[in-house]
Amino acid sequence: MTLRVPTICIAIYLALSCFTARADVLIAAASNIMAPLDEIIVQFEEQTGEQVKVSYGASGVLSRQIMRGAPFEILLSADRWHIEILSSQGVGILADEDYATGRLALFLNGASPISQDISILTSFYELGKIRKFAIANPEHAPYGRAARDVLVKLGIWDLAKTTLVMGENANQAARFAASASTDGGLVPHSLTVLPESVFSGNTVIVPADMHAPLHQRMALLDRASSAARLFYDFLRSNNARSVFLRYGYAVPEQQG
Amino acid sequence: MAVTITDTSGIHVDIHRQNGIALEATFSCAQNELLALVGPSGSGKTTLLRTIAGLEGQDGKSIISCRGDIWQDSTAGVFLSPQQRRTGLVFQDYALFPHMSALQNVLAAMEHIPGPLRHERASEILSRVHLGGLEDRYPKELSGGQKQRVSLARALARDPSVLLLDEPFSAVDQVTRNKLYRELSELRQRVETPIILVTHNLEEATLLADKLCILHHGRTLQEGSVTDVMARPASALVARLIDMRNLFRGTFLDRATPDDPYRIQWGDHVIEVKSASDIPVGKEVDWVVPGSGVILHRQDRPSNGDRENPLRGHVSNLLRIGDTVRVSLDVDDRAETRIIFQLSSRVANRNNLSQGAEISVSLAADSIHIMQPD
Amino acid sequence: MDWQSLNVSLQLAVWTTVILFPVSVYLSRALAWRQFAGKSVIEALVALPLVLPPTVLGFYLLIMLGGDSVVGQFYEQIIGQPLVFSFEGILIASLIFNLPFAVQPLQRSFESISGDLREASWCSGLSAWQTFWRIELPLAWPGALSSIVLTFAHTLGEFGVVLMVGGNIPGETKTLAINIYDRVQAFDDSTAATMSAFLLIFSFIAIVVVQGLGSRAGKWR
Repeated sequence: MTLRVPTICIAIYLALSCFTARADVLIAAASNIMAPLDEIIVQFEEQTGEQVKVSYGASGVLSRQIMRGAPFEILLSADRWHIEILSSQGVGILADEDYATGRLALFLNGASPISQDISILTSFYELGKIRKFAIANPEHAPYGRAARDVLVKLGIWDLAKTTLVMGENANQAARFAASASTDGGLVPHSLTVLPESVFSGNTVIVPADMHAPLHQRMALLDRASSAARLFYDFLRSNNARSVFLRYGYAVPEQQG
Repeated sequence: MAVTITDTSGIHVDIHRQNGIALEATFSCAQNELLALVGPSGSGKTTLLRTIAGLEGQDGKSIISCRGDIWQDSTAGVFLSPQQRRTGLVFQDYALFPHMSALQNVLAAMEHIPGPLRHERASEILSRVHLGGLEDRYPKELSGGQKQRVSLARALARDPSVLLLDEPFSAVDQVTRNKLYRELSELRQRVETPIILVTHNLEEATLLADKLCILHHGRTLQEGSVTDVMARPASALVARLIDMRNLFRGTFLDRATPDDPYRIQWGDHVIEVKSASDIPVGKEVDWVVPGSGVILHRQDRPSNGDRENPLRGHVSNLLRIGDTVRVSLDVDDRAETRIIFQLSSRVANRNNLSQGAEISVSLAADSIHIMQPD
Repeated sequence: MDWQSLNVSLQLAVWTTVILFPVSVYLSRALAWRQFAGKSVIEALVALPLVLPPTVLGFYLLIMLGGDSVVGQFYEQIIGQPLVFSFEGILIASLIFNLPFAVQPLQRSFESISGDLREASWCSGLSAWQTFWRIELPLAWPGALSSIVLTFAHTLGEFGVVLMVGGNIPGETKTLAINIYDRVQAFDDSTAATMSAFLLIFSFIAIVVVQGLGSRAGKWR
């Protein structure tokens, strides 16, 4: 008899679950774009009343999920390459274009205000001051690939290899970099621009010529609903672009 | 395997099985009868009981019928499930449902009775087995004897066509056991159901049963009334199984004249017997004399009976058990011809019986039983 | 506090428990009381998710249920959506990786019921179903409770397999456990802390409630 009440509650709960419809726009985005994208989504939802749900992750992981049938309607990659992979694998793409260009920043834990010279990393390594250094996994994340480019360009890749702590995606790498257990890392610049950011004050912007440019490209997939298409257009609008700019991204020339 | 069913009120069993525990068993138990299935451990008694209950034994050739209903007939492909048969099975370890009270245990067997009547009838059965007032106790709160009574009540609640008791008294102490014996006898006066009791305890069997069925390695060796089986075992094996001691080999001799008794050559002795049988002369036979047929020659009061099959020897062993004395007499001072019998202490003392004493006895000719060897 | 991912977690836990319970009752009964060829193989298969790393489980589940698999393609033809990255996909994964938690306690409980009791029930006239419902299940109730509680709690906590098979789709496969991981990565520790505390308290209360029910059922022991 004591089972009757819980059983009825559970039955009702389960019955209700059958009726929740999923009408949200579902998109996948590289983790580094989280902060500006969240703001843009809020604006969009207020304006149109449509709900947008995002899955953040490494571009490689997300594109592979899409290839295996994940129901995302838009992919915001951290590079162009993963969009090309999608299209070459036969995934239906309605439209694609660059939406922002990112930068890398060097963060050194516990270092006092330092000069804006990237070679400080080389000195730190040569002085043995770096035991653990965080970057995103170059296999999955464009920001990780860029980080590797930088280390190679600096000539310290062999030195750095054994110290690397690899984040699954750019944001996780940043999380590692910020923790007291590492001595720093190469993180998305956009994470360092806000005054309340944990990285504030201890970062050096990595010169753009030290790595392949982080042209971030988005693709509208052919299963996109009309609400998704609306959002895609919104991402190209001036409102969205100004948000990207505020977070330290460069934006493409207005395409009219 | 032809079985003629003449009496449709009891249960008839005829089982022949080779697989697993081999069974070759044939017996019946009528209304109001209690049949004891007796045999040593491993003789297949429990298997037989379980087969009657329908818990096993779908293979092999068998016919089981009860009250005219065919429960099992391998040639006709009939096998009723335990639920379809109406058996009341009392397990050796009671098998009471631990999560139910005594009353609920009994009620569980009453699905065949309409709801409103069940409670009253269950209480009635419980008081019949002297458990009134204990209806709401759980098995863990009951003694061994009480649990056995609940088990019996549950079996009776089924309105069974046959009551099957599987060594029901083996797990209780002697005092409780005696009480339960009396209660079972009382119960039988009010219940007409045939009862089959499985036991390895011969004493219990002779105490409670009307009929005995001796089982050995799955074969029924003899079926008959208690007195019949105990006095006239079918073979030396049966005699041994019913713990008859004075079992010997001899040669069957012709009688001197038609008026004379039959005779057996036993070593140097010629034993006179009264039981007639068509045994060929010169045949080796087994013969047995029960302790009651051994009569002590009283030194102080010789009688004519002393001339009947006289034997002498020395007492090789004297065992006092309570009020009786068990005497082992080595006839002609040989251990192979040892005769065992019982006397009251009084008689033993009066005759100054002691270990090593020389005595003589007579074997009553009409108590001697002859069996043909297998 | 993200109610949507909590809802996904609860849905997953409840559906898994509700579907798995009758299945595990059937399976554990058969394993407890029947002898059949291949029984030890089945017992080993049931126990497998206990020892396999979640990533191995996730890997094989992706192969079995993914877009290239027979099951996956069949599902997609009927429903129109892929099986992986959907709630149904992680539900199937959940049913599989919860098997040992659901079956083993129940099996042990059934094994401890003496065969005599079932036979006494049959001889008393109770059918197989009545025997199951009135004798076997009440006696196996402690094992049943363990089975339910363990399945529920384990599902709430499962991370690796759900992530591999389900991805991280909000409202569909993003469970609370995954969301906590997500929030930590996003430097949102306060939300992560709230959600973690919630999961902890919720699981604790669930266990206490169920155990309370259990102790009341055992007064005859």
